[in-house]
Amino acid sequence: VSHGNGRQLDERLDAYVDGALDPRERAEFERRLGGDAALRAEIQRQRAIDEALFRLFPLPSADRAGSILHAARQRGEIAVPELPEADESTSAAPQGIRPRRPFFRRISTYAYAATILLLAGGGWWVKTVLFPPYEIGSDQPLPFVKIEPAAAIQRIERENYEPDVVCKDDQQFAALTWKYTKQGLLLPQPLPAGVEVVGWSLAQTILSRQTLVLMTKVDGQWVYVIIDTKHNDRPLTSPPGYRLFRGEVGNLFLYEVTPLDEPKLLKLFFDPKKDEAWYRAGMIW
Amino acid sequence: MDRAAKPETSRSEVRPGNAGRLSAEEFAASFNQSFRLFWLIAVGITRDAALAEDIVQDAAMIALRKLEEFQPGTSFNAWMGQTVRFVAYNASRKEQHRRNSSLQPADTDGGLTRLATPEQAELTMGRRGELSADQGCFDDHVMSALSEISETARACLMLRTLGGLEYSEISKVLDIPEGTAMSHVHRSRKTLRDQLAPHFAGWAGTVGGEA
Repeated sequence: VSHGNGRQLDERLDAYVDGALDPRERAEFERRLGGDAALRAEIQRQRAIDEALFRLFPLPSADRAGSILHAARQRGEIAVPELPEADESTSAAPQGIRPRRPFFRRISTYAYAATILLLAGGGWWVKTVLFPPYEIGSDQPLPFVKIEPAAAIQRIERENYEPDVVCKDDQQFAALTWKYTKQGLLLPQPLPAGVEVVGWSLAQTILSRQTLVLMTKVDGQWVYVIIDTKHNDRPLTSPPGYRLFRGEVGNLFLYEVTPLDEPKLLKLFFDPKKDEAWYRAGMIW
Repeated sequence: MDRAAKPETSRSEVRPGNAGRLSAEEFAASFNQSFRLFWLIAVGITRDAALAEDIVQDAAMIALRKLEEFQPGTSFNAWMGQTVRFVAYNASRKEQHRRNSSLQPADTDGGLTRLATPEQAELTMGRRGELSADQGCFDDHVMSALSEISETARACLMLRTLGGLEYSEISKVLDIPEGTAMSHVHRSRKTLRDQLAPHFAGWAGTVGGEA
């Protein structure tokens, strides 16, 4: 940060990004953020860098420990014990054990990615190799500040109800849900009278980094649908003036946040059950 | 910090009993619990995710040979973390030596192969700091900028950012004072932001661009 108590502000910025400030400190920092565009920009940059680190170094799943001990055992240099709770059927044929390679044969992940890029020469590889989607249900830690639906709605209001993404057709709509949750979702067409889909609000970390918020209008009133995988479910608090209804479609749960007395959207959603190629063809991001 | 899946450290650490030496089975249980913590140390030092697994494997082999050196009642993670650091530093030196003696120009920036010209790599960002899919070079620049940070500082950064560890926990597994761990993280992040500043050009919120 280029101004103000340099180091102290950097420390505060880091703590904010890490979600390590207590509620009072956080509120105080956010008040400052409100009037400091440079500080806001600095935070966005730090978040972009952190996201890059997560992409560059995805944490291995916890069960890799067993695979590593198994590989060490295969080397036969020393007695290596089985993990106490190891399942014999899986430890005998561990998944994805990578044999040790001599240093001169090691090729960096990036050199490999570059080769693939050169060979494939297409944007698809840019997406999937350099920007792999977060793996839902993996053990990858995703530190973020979980927010309640009320905060998500406040953000939408602050942004004048401007959606992050507006899908032009069903394929794009389903592709977006598939990208974030590995399951497609659709609403029937035509929509029931009085229902209007406005667009998507992304990066609303209500339950995870993948949480999607669909912005709709029902009978002229704003109604939101929070979507995430069951893996990330947790109890949510109703925003003031809204009621919360929960539904499920396949591996997803949906919370309808509505000022109305009953849910109007939950029962409409369905899984189009398309293949991966169809979803990828619908991706516009 | 959110701790949804943080690597286990002191609070949940398996502490082998005070009586007798650490058994191989106790080692396996403790290793299983803290494996990702060790991986983060290794990847911080080497900047190579694949190599990090090899390092952790080598460190496990060494530790198993020296089980009698473990002091019962002390922290397994601190003991094993020391071995991982030792192996990782050695691997890093070897890799550095190999690169220095290599004639392959693609290796000169730390194993990175440049994927685009600076013009191609200029980064623009969405309203919430999201990268668009066709701006795939930013990660390469982050990787390159990481080379400007010391190995220990990188390990602190990884443990904090990717592992979500408290500074006290980082202090323990890296055997450095807590204040040093904190300082490493702050400086590392600042260094990365400064190093990457040119790649945020064109973004509305560039430092100094807005009052």
